[in-house]
Amino acid sequence: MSTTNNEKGIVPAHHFDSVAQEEDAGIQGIWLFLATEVLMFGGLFVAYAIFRGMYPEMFHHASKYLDTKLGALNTLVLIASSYSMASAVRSTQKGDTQKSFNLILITIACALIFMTVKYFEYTHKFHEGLFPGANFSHPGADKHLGLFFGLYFVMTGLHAIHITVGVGLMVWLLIRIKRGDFSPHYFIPVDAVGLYWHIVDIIWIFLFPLLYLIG
Amino acid sequence: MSAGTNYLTHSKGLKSWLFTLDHKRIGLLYLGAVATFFLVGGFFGLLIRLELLSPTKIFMSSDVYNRVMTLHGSVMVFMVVIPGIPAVLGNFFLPIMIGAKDVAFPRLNLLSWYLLMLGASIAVLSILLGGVDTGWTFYTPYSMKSADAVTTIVTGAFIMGFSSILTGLNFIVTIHKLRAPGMTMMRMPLFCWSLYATAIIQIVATPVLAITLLLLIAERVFGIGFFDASVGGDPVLFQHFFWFYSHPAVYIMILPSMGIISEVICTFSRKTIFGYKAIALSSVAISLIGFFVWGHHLFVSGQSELAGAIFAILTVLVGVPTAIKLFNWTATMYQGSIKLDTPMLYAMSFMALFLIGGLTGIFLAAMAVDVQLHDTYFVVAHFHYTMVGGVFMGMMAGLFYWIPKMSGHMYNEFWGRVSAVLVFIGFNMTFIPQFIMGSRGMPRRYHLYDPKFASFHIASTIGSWVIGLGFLVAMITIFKAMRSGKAAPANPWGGTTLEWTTSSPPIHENFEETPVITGRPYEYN
Amino acid sequence: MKTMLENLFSFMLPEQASTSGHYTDDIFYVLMGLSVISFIILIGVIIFFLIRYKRRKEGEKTGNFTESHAIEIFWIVIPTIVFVAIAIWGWQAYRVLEYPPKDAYVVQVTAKQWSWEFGHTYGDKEVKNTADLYVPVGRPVALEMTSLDVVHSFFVPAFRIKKDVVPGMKTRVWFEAKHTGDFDVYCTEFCGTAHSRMLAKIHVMEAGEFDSWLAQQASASTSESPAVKGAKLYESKGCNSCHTVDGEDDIGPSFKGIYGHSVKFSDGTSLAAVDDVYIRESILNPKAKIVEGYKPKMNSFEGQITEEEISYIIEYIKTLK
Repeated sequence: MSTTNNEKGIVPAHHFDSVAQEEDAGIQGIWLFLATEVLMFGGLFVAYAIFRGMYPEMFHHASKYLDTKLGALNTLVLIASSYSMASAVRSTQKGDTQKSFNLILITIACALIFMTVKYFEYTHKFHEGLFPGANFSHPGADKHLGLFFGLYFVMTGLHAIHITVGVGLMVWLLIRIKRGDFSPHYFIPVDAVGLYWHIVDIIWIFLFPLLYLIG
Repeated sequence: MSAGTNYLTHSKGLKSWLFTLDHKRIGLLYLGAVATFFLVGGFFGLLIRLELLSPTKIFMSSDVYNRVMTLHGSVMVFMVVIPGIPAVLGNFFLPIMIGAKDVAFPRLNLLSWYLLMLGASIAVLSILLGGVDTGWTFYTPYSMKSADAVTTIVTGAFIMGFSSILTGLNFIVTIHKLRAPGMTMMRMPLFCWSLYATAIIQIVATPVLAITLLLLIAERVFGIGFFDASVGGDPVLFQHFFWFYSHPAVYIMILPSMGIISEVICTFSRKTIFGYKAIALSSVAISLIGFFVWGHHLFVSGQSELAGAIFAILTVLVGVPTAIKLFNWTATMYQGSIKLDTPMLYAMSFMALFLIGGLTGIFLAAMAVDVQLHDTYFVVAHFHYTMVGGVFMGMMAGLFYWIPKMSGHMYNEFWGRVSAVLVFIGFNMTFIPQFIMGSRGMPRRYHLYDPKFASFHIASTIGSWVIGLGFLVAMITIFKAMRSGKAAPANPWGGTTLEWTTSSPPIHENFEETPVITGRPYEYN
Repeated sequence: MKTMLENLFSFMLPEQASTSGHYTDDIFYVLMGLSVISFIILIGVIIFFLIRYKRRKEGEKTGNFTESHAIEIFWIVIPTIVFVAIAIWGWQAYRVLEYPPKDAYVVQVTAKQWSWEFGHTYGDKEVKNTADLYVPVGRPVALEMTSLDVVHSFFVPAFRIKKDVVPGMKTRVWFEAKHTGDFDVYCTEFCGTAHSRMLAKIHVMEAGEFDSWLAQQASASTSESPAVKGAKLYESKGCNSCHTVDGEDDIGPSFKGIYGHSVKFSDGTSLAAVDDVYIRESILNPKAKIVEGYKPKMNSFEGQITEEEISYIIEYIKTLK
């Protein structure tokens, strides 16, 4: 039961008084959900802070094993994808659903580029023996570096999972756009996915300097 | 809508229940689930007490005992007490009490139930995969190295966490957006305030549990090293992460129960609550302060003295809003017109038992005393007094109070009172000996023990049979009232909150017309 | 007042045998007194109200006393002051427990699943016992503790001390025994199968007796036969927490009669006769071969035992027919 777009026009779900109230509620719900995402990643940032406080030189040294150029590339790709996503929301708001369809496609493409770069980064690390924790086996390097790589893989890995879910959500949006679900009077799901995507982007913007730029 | 239908008869068939979007039916789905999990967890509890009749092995090896101990805790915490009141009574009554037709996100609500069921199934699956013996707290490094189904049970808990988060999210938006005209926050029933404070914790704390459990799984599967001393990690870090959620979690458990006590005491004293604002805001205060006290679980972990001191002072400060409630409830009864029906009996039981639970919490907050009492049966008794004596007594009070509304039938008052008396007596028989043997040195999570503690254990086990019987009587009485019994009027108790203006049981839409609120609840005379 | 509280509530605590125990007990007794009084007052008032204001007829009027800022401030301020005072008192007492006196006698404590090992130094020699800690009376003893595997916790109820024992970290606890005697030690952080058997005893001796005990322990290691040394290692290394020598099976197989005997493993293979090689492997790589009917619970002793010690243990096992 949610807003339906039918012959009578836009009708709110039975327990809401108006579409405006329903949309307000939906947006508040999304923001609360995003707060939980921030708190979940927050735990990882706290772990990062604690371990970096304990082993500052080790972090400095370990960060050198990360490819700053690839990380920067991924950062730019994600920022671009946030721009295309925001534009997609704007287009829907203005009624240009074809444009928003294309912009979401671009966003998905950016996400896929991001994931491809990550794939290459990860496989390169495995090749070098830069495994997390006790499995760390890079020749000549101190075993404690495994702690840094534990953080690296968990933080970027969890982030990558969120990117993947984001792509899934965007494909869902594409399907709904094709079905004609959205209009200037009703585009909350596009708005919501947009917000989700921005949070995923912001998390990366914190991850990048903390992991890549401290070497 | 045809005349004479209510939410139970509105549609029929299994599918109409499994795919329902009606918050009332979802509340009942949760009731069925939580009641079943309670029987499972309670069964394990009785098994534990049975084995502990003797200082040496009776019928369980230490390995089996440790698994039963872990399951009792895990099932009760994650599958009974955390969902408990919010998911059952909160789902059913929050919308009605604020004059709404449903919660903000009905589909999310149904999803929350399925997540609980999925997570619970996975957690219980761990029994078949060798079981888990780490205790429900999963401390590292043991939980990392243990060759058992830790990953499975932790995955189950992770999924159930999302059930809790989504319920909290739903309730916050419901309270913010769906209050009926005239229902300002300061005119909301106190049960709703307690659900609001609880929802804040669910949203802020549970994600930290999620990441903690994920890290434990990552540690087991990928050896990431955060908690592994051999690569420079810190096993105690797990304890900090774990308790950052699990301490606020106990306020998720108790706050809704306190909300029910406010409702029941007012109705059965026919009197306005004393200090409405203080009780409403004290719930939020407990919720907020509760985030900053987790370190009191770590006084002897090697934590710094200064950190311990800060946690100790904050911990006792949480006691202040709690005390305010107890005093205000007592003052509410002054010059009231009191009837000791079953819900009120359970509420009085709450007052005595939760008071003891809270006072013994002060013992544990005094650092030097905690050194002696930590990880002994004193702590076990403390948390049972608060979780059972507090949360369960409130849940029972709420169930008996509201079953006439939910089912349209009155329950059997005689058996209701019998259950309350049995539970009160049995509870004290079970747990007072535990306080004493705990302060005398009996450690917790012990399968075998020094014979000098035997008489305490025997007394405690006999008590467990009495409380088991009491809960059985209560559950049968409530279950029977779901399907039969005297027809309940709309307002059998003389309550003043909105749910008593609807029919018993309510219609599908809750109200014929959206109510308009003109004053505070609990106005008598 | 203090002795009255103590007399009333001392049944709740074990004997107090350390010089700093009273810091804890004083707080405990005061809290018991305050709790009992608060309980009696509040529940007393409630019971009084239940009787006095029992409903006599439907629809009767009830009071209007529903708000009083003065009263509420009173019962916010008083509990706050009392509670914070208790928290500070508890903290101050904790400081006593936390910081040993400078001249304390230091003992190294090593916890592992599932035994406690205590290490003294005598000159340039190390004296180690498992499960029995010998200390002198009337002298502060500081324990420096670490774990070889999981988190354990060292708890001596009679001395009112407790501290977690963590791998990768050293934690400390101290006490000064008031009189001689034997006192229980419990592991009190869940650590696996034999958690409830991970016990020890502190034997407090007169100072002179302690000195001769220590000297004797230090010299004993040179004159004994390998099998006798092995018997001592069987205890001090903690083998006895899982393996008996009398034939009774426990967490691990009994050692009685195993040397030269055949053994079947859980993977279907078998060994015709238990020999030195097998015993050595069982100590250094216990999970390589698991005897049928048992679980892979034993941790490796790699790095914790010398080749010489292994040979003593083998000699000891040979004597167990």
